[in-house]
Amino acid sequence: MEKEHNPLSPQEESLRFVVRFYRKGKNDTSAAWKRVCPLLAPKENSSRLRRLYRITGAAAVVAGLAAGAFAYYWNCMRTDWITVTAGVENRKLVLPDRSELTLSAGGVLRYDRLAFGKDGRKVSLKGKAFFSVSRCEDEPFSVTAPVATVQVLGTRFQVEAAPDSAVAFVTSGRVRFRTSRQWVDLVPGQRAVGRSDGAIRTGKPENQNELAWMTGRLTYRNTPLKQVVKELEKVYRVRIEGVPQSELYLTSDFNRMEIADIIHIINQTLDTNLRIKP
Amino acid sequence: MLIFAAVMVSLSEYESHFRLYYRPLVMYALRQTENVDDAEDIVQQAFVDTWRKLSEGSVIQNLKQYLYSTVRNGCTDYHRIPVPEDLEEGRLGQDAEMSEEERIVRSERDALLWTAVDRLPEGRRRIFLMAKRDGLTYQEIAEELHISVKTVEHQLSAALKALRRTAVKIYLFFFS
Repeated sequence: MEKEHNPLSPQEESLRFVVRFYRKGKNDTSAAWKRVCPLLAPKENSSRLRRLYRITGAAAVVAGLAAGAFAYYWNCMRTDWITVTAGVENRKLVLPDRSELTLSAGGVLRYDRLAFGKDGRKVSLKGKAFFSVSRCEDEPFSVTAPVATVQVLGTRFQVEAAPDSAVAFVTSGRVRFRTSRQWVDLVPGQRAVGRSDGAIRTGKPENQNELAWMTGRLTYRNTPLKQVVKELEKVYRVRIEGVPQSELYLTSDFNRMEIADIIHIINQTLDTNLRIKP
Repeated sequence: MLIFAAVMVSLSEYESHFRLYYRPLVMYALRQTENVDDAEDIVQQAFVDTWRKLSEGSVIQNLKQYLYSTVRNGCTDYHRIPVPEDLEEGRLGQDAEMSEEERIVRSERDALLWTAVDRLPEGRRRIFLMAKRDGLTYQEIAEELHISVKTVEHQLSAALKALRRTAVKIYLFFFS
């Protein structure tokens, strides 16, 4: 995506790649040589005694390896899946790494408590959530949705995961959004939509109400009423009827208000007769 | 005894090859694995295997090429065994138009930059990564580290200067 529209020079591309994976103390040639060198030791002529030593040594190594492998698999196979569900209301959570998130009503978040923070910080999501990820250089944070993965190190962003699409919106820092086919880096204010065929569309959100489900703050500036109604239905999880066919526009701010009050204000302002469907 | 001596000599020779090619090879493998530890394992294994080949008496005409192709095979196997995270297809597609030659050149360029980043003083590198990798603003970095925006600016420009000294043109990246 990025590649097509804005080809990077090879140097820029390299530097982006390097900073993405750079970890202090990794890829250290001298340390690696110390590890490799003993494995290259030339074979010596061996007396029978030496051979015996070698055989016992080898047996000990094999036994040790087997024990190690067993312990390793034992540890790998142990999992402790935590599933958090938000019912009819948004739910605030703090993860083991002190990252905070708000899970929208109906959302489901899942992670393996034992693996979390060991090989990255991985969670999977259904529904919508806003993440405020705490910084940890060595353990990238990733959110897996059915059709896309969002990867970050320490930023604030929102993900909406549906079975056939995924939407990410970034408010601070850079995140990487990837599907089965493409990836794109998002900067604050940007939004990406991924589809199940792997295609990604990026752009700015249509209005400022991207986070309204969480903040309860809705802003309209000459917004078509039909769009307002659609959004209110989504944020407040209601059905609204009595929407007039004529073109009406609304300019107003609602801050943490009851839906009934909002409807009342709109009806007063635009002389409409909107009602909440019971 | 003679053979033993010959092996000893080439071990130190082998070490100089190791020092020359290790980092570029890791960067080459990293493009496939996207995991530094796995990339390092693959490359170390390649050096061990290649050494065994040599000590068995095989003649390797071009050691560099041989190492790169051993690492390439290591990466192919790596992809086959564990479940690749999500995007083998995208990754391959991205690299598809590159020749092997270009990939090797790229791995050398990546290695140079890795070295340059590695040589930055600790605090400066941290600020540099927060800005360039995580995309945080100067203000956000200053708040998180409890330092002034001026200090952030200063540290970043010092980091850029150091990276430019590696004779790599990276201007656009820093203003994007």
